[in-house]
Amino acid sequence: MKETSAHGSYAPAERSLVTMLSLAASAMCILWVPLVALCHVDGLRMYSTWPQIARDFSLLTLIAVGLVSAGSLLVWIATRALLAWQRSAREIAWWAGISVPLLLCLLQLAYTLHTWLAVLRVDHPSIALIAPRWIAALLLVLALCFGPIRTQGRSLAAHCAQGILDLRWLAASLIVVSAVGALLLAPEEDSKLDAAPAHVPIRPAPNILLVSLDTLAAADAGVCLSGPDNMPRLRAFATQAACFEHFYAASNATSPAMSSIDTGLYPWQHWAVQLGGGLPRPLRLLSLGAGLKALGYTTHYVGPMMQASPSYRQTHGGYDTIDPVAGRTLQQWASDRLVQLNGSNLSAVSYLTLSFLGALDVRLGGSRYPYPPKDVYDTALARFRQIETSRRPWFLWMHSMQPHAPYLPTAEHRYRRLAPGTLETWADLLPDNTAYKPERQGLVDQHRLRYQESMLAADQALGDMLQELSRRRLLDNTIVVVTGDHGESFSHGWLGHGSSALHQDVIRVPLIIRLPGQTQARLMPTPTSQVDLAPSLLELAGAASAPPAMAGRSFAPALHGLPTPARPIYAMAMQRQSRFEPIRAGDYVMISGDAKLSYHLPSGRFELIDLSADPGEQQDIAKADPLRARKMLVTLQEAIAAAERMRQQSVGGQPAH
Amino acid sequence: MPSLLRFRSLARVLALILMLEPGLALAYLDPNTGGLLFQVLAPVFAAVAGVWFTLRRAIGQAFRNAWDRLRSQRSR
Repeated sequence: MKETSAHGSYAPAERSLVTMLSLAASAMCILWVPLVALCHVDGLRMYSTWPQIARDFSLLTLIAVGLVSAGSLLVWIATRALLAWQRSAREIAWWAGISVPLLLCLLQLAYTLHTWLAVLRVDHPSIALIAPRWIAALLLVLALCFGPIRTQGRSLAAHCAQGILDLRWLAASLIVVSAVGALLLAPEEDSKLDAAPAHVPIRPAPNILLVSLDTLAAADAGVCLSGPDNMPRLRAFATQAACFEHFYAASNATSPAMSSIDTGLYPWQHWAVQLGGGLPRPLRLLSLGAGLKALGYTTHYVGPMMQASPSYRQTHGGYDTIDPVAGRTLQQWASDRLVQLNGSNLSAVSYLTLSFLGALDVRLGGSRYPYPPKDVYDTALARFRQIETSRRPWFLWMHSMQPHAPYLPTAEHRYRRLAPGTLETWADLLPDNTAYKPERQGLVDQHRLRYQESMLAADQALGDMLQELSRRRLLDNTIVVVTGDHGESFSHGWLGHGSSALHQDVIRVPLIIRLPGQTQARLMPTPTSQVDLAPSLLELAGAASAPPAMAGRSFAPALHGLPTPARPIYAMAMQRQSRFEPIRAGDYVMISGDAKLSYHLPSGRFELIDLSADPGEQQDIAKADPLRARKMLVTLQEAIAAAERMRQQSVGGQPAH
Repeated sequence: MPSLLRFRSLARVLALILMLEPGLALAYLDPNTGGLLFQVLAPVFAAVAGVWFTLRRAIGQAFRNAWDRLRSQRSR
């Protein structure tokens, strides 16, 4: 039954708890989930099949309905309790309860509308010339000219609420379909290697500690005794280790780079190239963890889940333990936990969908760094207490976020590069991974100084950790590897990493390897890649040879002073390339000696840089040295063609024409 | 709800929605957002939702009128 108000609006007369919960569930099913699906379906299709997408949104429906209904109920109970003496407490509580789902729907509608307008501006610039905020201001002025706001607003809300409630039969059907879908479309269990296989004898072998720091640019770190001294403790550590001067990330973002470290494959082979999406099923046991387990190691990961963990890229079958270390942000709270839903891409979807919480994180964060390294190292120390008594050699991979943005160093390191009064809090910083105009270069340079201060903080935390491990005698028979997943750009009009940025600041990262008992420094000048790390560590652990499927080549002989012939190194940014389609998108670089060829595949545009003469990569010498450019281009194109053949075998999808 | 009032309220809500610009603090965006499926399906979804929320009573009434006419014709 509905009653009309004085303004002729319709409002649900029965403001019961059941009606409120029905409305909450219906709003999420009918409005919120479809809006989220609309926004992300194009991205998901790059790396998920339709059954996987259907399962993901079935799960999302069930989770959203459950959580939001529970949230509405809590708000209703709290409001009733707080306003118990009021006659209209029941009505106020009802409206407070449904404000939760309606607000979420409103925010998602805002995101969808902004995305649609942004697409319109990009694809049809002559149509959408006016920014959304100006349109909003114009509408607001027009609307304010006509009558009072409050009663009409409430009438509209009641009208929309009734409209949603009228569809509760559809919402109930969707919930049932989602439950059935989630059950029927559940992925097969990934195979998992037996923990510490019993048939492999325990033998003396060095332990392996791999420490990766997020967003660690070699040019700013200066660990190989050249460049700025922003990591003095790591530089001191390198005086008793092998330091790789030209070590290259395989990509410019965390997920593809970490996947390359783990599998010894380039991104065009392992296909974890977008924000979401793990490795294709045939490749999931081709990991460093799996290889070391087969040799009798116990294998462990400690660090953030989103983008960095074996769970995220689906190589968790090769790891005995995975200890998640959550960031202290609202936006990532849900996505960190959803990574544990193996076979699902809801982690990436929730991260993007809850971007409005990111805005809240920025405002509430102040000057506190949201991913303190201590959280990772304390968790690792707890894990060490369990594994140090094992008779088997261990492999532990720690990943720490600092100096990844936001560049908020601890108080001890703040102002050591940039004076006070500038870029003090998270809200002062420019957004991460964005383009900037040349006139803002001065501000971006200031960001670089704060980034270097973050590096100092990361260096101290890592130095303390290594010192503690050394004190506990855990490094006596341990290969220690310290590296970064990718670098960071403060030039070429791009602040951050990702997108198509593949210049040296983004892809050149430090690599330091200290063998057990090593006391002498060794400088390694030959260019090497992240894909070489897994084969090298497997050889150092005693493997006869690396799996033939790995693209990398072991540089273990070079660590003992033997020569290693140089070969081309590749890096790539393939976010816009679907794994189900022939390779036609992406940016690729090939490094051969001092020459670097950059290639934009869709347009065929390429440029050649002489890195020794032009380290800033400003001068294209392709026309001056056309033979070399052409030769490198042919080699790169052949490598892409080989990757395409492998794609058809490991992923399937359309063959190249 | 009278049409003019509804338009004014819709205009205010639309303005509010547009002002709620999503924060880009953590800028791990998906560059594939807003592809072909989105561009085609988003306006369709908006149209269906708009028709439902604004015209559902008129559509329902039209069906009821048609059903009543059918019944009265059968009863003659």
